[in-house]
Amino acid sequence: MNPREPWEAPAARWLDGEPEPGDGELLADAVRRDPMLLRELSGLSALDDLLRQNADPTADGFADSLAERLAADTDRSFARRVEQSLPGRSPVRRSRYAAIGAVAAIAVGIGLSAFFLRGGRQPEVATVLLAEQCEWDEPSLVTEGERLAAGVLHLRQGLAVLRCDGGAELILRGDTRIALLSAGRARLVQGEVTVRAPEEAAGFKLLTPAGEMLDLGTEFAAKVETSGATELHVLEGEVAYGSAASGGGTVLGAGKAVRFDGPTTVTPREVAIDARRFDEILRAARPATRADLMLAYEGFSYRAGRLPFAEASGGLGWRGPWRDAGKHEAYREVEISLPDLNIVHDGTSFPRPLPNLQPGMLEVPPGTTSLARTLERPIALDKDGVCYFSFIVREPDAEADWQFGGVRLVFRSSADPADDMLSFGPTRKRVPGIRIGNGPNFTSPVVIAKNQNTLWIGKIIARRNGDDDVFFSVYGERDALDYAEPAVWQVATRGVQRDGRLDLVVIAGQLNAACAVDEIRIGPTWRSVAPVQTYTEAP
Amino acid sequence: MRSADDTRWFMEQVEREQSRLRAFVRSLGIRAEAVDDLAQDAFIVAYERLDDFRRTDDFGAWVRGIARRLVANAMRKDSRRRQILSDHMTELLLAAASEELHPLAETAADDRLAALRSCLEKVPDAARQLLHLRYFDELSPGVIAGRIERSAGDVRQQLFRLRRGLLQCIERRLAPAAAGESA
Repeated sequence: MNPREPWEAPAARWLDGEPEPGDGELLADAVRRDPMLLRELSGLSALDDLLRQNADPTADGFADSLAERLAADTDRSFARRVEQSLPGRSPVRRSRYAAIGAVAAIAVGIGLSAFFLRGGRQPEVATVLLAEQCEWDEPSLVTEGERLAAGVLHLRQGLAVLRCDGGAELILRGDTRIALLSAGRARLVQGEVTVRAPEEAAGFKLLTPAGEMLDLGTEFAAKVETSGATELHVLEGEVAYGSAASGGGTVLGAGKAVRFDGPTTVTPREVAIDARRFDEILRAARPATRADLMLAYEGFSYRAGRLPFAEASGGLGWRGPWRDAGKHEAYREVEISLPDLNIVHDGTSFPRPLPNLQPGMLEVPPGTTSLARTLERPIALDKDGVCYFSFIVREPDAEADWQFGGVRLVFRSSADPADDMLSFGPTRKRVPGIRIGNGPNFTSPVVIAKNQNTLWIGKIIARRNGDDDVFFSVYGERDALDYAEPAVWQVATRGVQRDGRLDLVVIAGQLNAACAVDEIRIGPTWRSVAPVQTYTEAP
Repeated sequence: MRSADDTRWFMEQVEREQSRLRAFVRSLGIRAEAVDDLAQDAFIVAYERLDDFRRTDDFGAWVRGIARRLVANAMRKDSRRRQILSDHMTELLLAAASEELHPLAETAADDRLAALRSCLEKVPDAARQLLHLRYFDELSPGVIAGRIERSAGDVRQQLFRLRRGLLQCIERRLAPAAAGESA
């Protein structure tokens, strides 16, 4: 074809989505004269889409988004409206986004939602950091610490904080419906969400009836009303917003807010900013330690001195007292048998106050030893669930010795103690490690300091289908603990699949000098085992 | 409510057909930014009408038919007309018989992508950089023009010719015999 054909420039503009007035007519005339041109232009359009797909080969985004829409559309009202709007039927005046707004009234509690929300095919994209007085609509019932698959969440009441795997953190306040689409993308159907995306999480996209909001490394709040009216409030940094249809791409700076009065509004109007900062909302929620949720606790609050095993039955969530670990319970094959416990009241206390901390620590003697106690409620690895633990250790300032590995906290199954075992503690190189049964070890490059109290916190995500995930971090006396679990743990496992029931807790020592341990906490959430202070003490 | 098996089967079809459907919707003169929404609308209607579909039939052709009707409907709705680049062109594209349109949109996704990638390897570096700015960095021709100190018209023109060259290359790869006959 002749490159100087008069239709070429209009065709180029049309292909790039920027047709000028008259381009369409000019192109149509050219097509009528040369029908092969229509074939070529349709091919170039298809090629344009192919180039886009090649640049973004993650087909998941499309399928995820569709799944979310199907899940949200459980009353089929949207599909019915679309069908009614097909040629030959009465037209519908509302846009798709208006329909989505109407879908906001939909209960998402039918099987379809469950399929998309919980189905094994959906990737996990976020973690629930905080759920404060939350009331969720079934089946989007979620708990702190839970990993969330792509799907729809409906928070009726309360406050929840989610951390997307891409790094952005979202505060939801009821009544809010949101669909998690991927690790860096969500669709706010109705309600309010405050987004904090640190620099490394910049690029988080929030889809709304008014279009897309692209976080450029900042904080912002978005509000979507049931009518589809949408507001964007930029608290810090900048956010790019715009609808796909309008071409989008307007940047809004900090302290500014705009409102789209309806889902079909292309140009928003400025409104006064009316949104609180992420931290302000958190402080107002005052997330505190939830010791009341603990499933098991042992504070070693016994009288000082030698304590017969029969008397070592304090705490809660245990079946029977502590005992010298039996042959199949002990962590190592050859161990010293212990006749009793030694409780010390030497004034030692963890510098980070733990609520209800009582005097008394357990002394773990030199040598290779194991003490065991049975949990009332085992940690079940054969079904979906999340469990956290914490443990305080004060090791002596002894010289490192290859034979002395320190103290380990071990969870194992009395039915299959060799294989169904998770062991946490320092390796001989003094780095935090997780050992899985007789199998793999996972370690961190972080070296554990000696001669100080350390707080160990671990998380076990059990899955009935799929890999279990186990995490572990060791905090020193000066390390800050946030209201929620860290984005990155010091140690994380990969490819672990276990289905046992861990009903034994074993404190195993391999020491050349005595050390002291305290405060075993096992619970369903980070806050049930971690001393959360940051936000309760903030002004 | 659909059974879990129905839904699973449906989502398998989505995964298989979505790439082709998107290209098909785009080839009807729909704005690139609106393609996903319209393609999803078509799948949602298909999901609703799944009882009308016999699994021995061609699901892709069926859902493309739904998409075609949705595009036709979009032309009649003010709120949806923004999805369409030009009424004149889309009218012609909708009215055209399937064989009058380019077959690229109806080719299997894997074949198309393989052909495209093979053709991209032959594109000179400077041109490949231009495609990168347009498709990976998602910059408009105007923004690209600012970066490389050219006019937006020049950039559009160069992109247009690049894509024509790629389309011809893909045609040859997908149907070497046919391309040989027409050469």
